[in-house]
Amino acid sequence: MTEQPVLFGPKGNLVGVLTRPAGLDIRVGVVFLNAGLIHHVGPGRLYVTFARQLAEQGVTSLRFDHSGIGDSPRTNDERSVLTLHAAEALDAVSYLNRQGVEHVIVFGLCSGAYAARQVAKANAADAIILVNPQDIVPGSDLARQGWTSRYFKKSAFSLKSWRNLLTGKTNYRRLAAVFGGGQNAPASSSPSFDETVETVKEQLNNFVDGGGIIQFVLSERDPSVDELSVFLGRDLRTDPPTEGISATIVKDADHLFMASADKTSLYDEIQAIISSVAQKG
Amino acid sequence: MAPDLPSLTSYPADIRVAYVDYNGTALFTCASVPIGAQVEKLVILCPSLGHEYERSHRGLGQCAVQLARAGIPAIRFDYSNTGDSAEDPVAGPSRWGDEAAFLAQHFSGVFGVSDVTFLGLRFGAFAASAAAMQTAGKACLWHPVSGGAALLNEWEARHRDMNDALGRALNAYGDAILGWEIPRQWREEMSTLSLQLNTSSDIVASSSEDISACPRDRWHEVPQNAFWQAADDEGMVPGPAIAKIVDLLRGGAS
Repeated sequence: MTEQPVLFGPKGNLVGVLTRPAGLDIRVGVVFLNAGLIHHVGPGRLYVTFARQLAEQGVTSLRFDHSGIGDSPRTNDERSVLTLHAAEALDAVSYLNRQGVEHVIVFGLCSGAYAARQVAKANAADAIILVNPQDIVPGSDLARQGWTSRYFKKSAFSLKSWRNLLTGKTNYRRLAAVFGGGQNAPASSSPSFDETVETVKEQLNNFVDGGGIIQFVLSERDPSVDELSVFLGRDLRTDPPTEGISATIVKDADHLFMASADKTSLYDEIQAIISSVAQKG
Repeated sequence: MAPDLPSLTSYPADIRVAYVDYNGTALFTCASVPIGAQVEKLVILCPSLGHEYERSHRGLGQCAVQLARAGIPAIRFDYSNTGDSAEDPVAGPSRWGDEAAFLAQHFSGVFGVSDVTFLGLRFGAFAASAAAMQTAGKACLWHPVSGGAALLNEWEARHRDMNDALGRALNAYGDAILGWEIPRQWREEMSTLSLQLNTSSDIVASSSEDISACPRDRWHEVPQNAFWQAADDEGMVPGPAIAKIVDLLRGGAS
């Protein structure tokens, strides 16, 4: 395995680490996107661990920071944070392609799922893995409906200080707020908020129809289970989809997959997608 | 009398990332470098550990940028077995000061300066202090932890709180505390660590005077906001504290 720090993107400001296998190279690569404001090592160093394990199996990966997050400096970019992150995710895919990676899988946890979804919309990857996506359609009513559904199923969390670990709170307005007003702050009229539930469903279905793979991985305790159930029109706990878009629920897991067994479950999901992509080859 | 501060020029800051080899272990480094400045000193930032490393990463990054804008190259790095750095089965907290000292030597050569300050946040104070002693450099200890055992107790208590909230078996987390691997070997080493100040060269930037060995004239008050405990998605940056620390380091407080 080799690891190399890289600077890429049109402005050369995106900092990442490229991890490559030393021997067998199956020409499949994974892009790891920031989970909220957590820098490119991932929550609990998850991305570093996964990247090194993947390299042992012949898989290249790139973990990087979006502009203004982690080690990547902000740029003078007038686009909203959502648009910018989507463009940067595509830059990362292109970068891996230029390294000789033929098949790319994009992994987005929490807020990272939005940019991963935009890669699918552009049909620029072979597969996307969306883990505990929050606000899958930003600006829509899905999250509220999901929470309403949850309220009637489960009691509220008792220990407020740990609620963030249970649920995550990174929605896009909050993420944008950290970047300050004006530049990078998504306005309600931003084109990125113009997506509707129906157009997003259509985008995802088009991606699957074109041979792409979409895998949702959801922590059992995460509100994304309820939100995605509303989105897909089925209770994922009792009625998971059997074709097209896939969704797996990891029992007992928290939002950031802090327990060892949950990390293993998540890695197993990545491996399964890699196998599918490699077989399609 | 006010110290003779350098000019208030704000330099553009550039980022340089590299792995630096330390006895066969690749250490990840990220340097914030002032463009166009006459470099006279540099700062090596020693981060905290575990969940504090994650939650303070943004704050330390902003601190590095502000130092660079003040004309001081600031090098952040990950200890072996942490962050993006490579694994080394025998390395642990007691070696991380050696790594900081090595990087000081390395980057002194890169920038052609010999004036190095080690800025250690929380648990990073141990590495900063040890490195300063090894290199006859200076240390600035930012909200330092005075004893490793007490810190470990604090983290384990928080971990139990979290576990109560999540309702998981404690063994579900393996060696992790609050989601971050803290192996048994590290815990044993941490328990033995006690902060040793060099009272002639180290300074403490803290909100309290809880380090009894710190002489009054070595202590500088900075606002306390515990940004190392802030939620991941808050992106808390301790602006006033960073401004004070940059001022201290620009003025060569020692």
